[in-house]
Amino acid sequence: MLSQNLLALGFTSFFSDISSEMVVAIVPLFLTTGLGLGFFGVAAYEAAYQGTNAVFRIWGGSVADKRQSHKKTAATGYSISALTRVGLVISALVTAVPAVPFLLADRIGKGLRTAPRDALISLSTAPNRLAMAFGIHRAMDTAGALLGPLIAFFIFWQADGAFDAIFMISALVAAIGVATIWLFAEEKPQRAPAKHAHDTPRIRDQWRDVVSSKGVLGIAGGVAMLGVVTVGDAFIYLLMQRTNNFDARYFPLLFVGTAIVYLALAMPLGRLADRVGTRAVFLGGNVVMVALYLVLAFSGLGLGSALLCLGLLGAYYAATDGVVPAMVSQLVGPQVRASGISFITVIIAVSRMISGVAFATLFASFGRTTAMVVLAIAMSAAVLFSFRLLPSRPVSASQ
Amino acid sequence: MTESGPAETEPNINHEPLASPTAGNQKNFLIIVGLIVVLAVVGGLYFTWSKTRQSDSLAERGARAQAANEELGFGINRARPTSTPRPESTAVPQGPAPSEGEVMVVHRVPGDDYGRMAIRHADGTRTLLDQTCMRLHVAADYGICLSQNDSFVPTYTTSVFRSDNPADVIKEYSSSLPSRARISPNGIYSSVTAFATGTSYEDISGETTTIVTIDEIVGTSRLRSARQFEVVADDSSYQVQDAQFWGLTFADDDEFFITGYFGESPEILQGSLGAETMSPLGWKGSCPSLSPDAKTLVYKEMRDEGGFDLVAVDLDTDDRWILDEARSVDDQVEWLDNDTILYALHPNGLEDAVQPEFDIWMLDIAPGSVPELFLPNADSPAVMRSAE
Repeated sequence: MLSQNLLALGFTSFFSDISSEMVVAIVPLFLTTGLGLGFFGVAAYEAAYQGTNAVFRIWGGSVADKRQSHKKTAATGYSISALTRVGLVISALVTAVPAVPFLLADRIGKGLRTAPRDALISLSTAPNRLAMAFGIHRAMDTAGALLGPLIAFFIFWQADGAFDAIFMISALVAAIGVATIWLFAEEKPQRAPAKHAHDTPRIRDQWRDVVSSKGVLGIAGGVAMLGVVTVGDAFIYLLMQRTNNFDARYFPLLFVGTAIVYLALAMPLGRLADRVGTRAVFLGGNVVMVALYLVLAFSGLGLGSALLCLGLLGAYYAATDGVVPAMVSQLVGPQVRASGISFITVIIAVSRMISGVAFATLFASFGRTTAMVVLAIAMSAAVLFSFRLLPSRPVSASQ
Repeated sequence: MTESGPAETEPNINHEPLASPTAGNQKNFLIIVGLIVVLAVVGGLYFTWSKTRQSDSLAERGARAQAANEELGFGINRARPTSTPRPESTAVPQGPAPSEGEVMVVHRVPGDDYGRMAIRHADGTRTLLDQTCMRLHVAADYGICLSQNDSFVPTYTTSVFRSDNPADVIKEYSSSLPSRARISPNGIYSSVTAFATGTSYEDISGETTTIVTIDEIVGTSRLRSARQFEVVADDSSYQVQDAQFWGLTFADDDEFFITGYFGESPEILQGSLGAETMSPLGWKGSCPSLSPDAKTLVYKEMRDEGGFDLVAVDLDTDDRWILDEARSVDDQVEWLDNDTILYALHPNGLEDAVQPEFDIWMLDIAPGSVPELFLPNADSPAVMRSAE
């Protein structure tokens, strides 16, 4: 039931997420106190960070399909990220070595590996278990993301602000992840290797295949529409904090609460999606988001409703994050699977960026209640429209 | 491709249960277990090395600072052992206490004693006390100490102590990350400025929120926030809901000065505790501090190129002048006497990430004066004065 590839990739993600979240947790501190970067520097860094990720995600998907080397491409991505940690150790020890190139190179690694890894999970799993497999993978991934910051702050506290020690431990943990994927994951080539160079499909043709797959444009339209009305978790946490005026040092607890719910629900909801269809669970997740918007709009956000918010947010992620690649995998042919997954996830990333700007504007001009009600209405409409756009339950899933 | 396509077109699905221990896999398991052990050892060694290195570098900085202090004539003494109370007594043991005119400071020599309260004697030597503070102030019968508890998630405590015995803490409450503290001249009120939403780098929106609380030290009146006070101004742009306040200084048992920010730039307000009102004085600046004779107010004013000047105002004549300190001063100054201020600066303007150093400087407010070093490796000066 658990394929070796799923376990191997799950553990790889677990270690790799411990490693990267250790860095993410302290990067704002490092950039400001360690490097003396100003506010605009941090903002510019964020933009470069997101952009790099999107470009390399597409590229990683395309290359992995072209060469039918999902494992190799993903493992290369993980290896690049691990090597950047060594760069960060040096940059923390030697003032003359800048850290930002390494942080961006880490995004290159992350961009490269995401789509081939998800494609490999889908190619190693029976079609009627896809969503559960992604759920298991996301749960392992999130477990790592929870542990990372804890380890980082423990080291930071114990070793009196030694950034290099955090980066070094992070590099070692990443190395375990890299070894896991190289040693245990197996390629799942979907066609015989080309005998001549001209037999290898061109990337342009691969993308024609992706776009012409039945239902893919529908998914693209659906996730784009939902994405632009999805408020990022950072905004949601900020909103909760502002309304309640609680201490900012509890901020990380919001992330922890959400992650625990996500962790617990990822697999069961994946399983449910395999039974009742990915569309139903995915749209159900978005309905949960509507409920979250309404709680944020009308509640005074005391402890009870704050917990409710975290529960809803975690459930939203569990119902959507792993279910989307499962949905894509049911429609996109195995030979262009990685490209198809990269296509949809980049659309989600871009639409969320648009939503960030839109929400900030909406919130600034109309205030919390109006902004959240408008978004709840918009999200409900998007759910109704995308019901027609998203693929109905594929026949194969009901076998 | 048909809707039912993927099932038929995927020849390579792996249905077998996990890890049938093939020879290859067994070898790989051994490799990964071995690798994890090796990496754990390397990680442990690196962690230990970093820990030692960090504490060595603190010890080295501390030794350098200590030597410099001795050489400049600012000797450092440990507190004499606290007198043991008689067995039948329940009193708090009496430790060293500041006498009139002595200055309480926070000790800033890197190392184990970093952050301890200290008394600077008239000859420039200091005596270290047991208590640890990030910021302190003292006036008349009471002192206030804002401290950070060493824990995984930092927490902060505000404590009020008797100035004749800093070991005698009369009240304690937890707070968020504190920045400024004041005791009113007669020891009736205390005031703390703390960050309500983290520090600037933690806050996603990139802004910082501060809260000023005012507490009646002995007495039953509730803890008040400057936000609850009314801003009295002709201009409707002074909306207390959107305002931020920080850096309060007491004039007496009623009057105070405070920094208010209403969206443009920080400015100085004068307020009344009794009436619970504040009115803008029309001066751009922050962190006011009033001289003991209540004649001069010194505050910091943002320079065009960044950093802060210290500005003095004669409250009788409204004359204002920039003090002769070329370095940027980011501190709420303290008054040594009616003509002399004390404030802390980082040596060479550099701030270390861990256990940053500060020196206290002394400056006559008369134009043309030259700053003098008052006490190296110390911060948060507070001059011991009795109530009137």
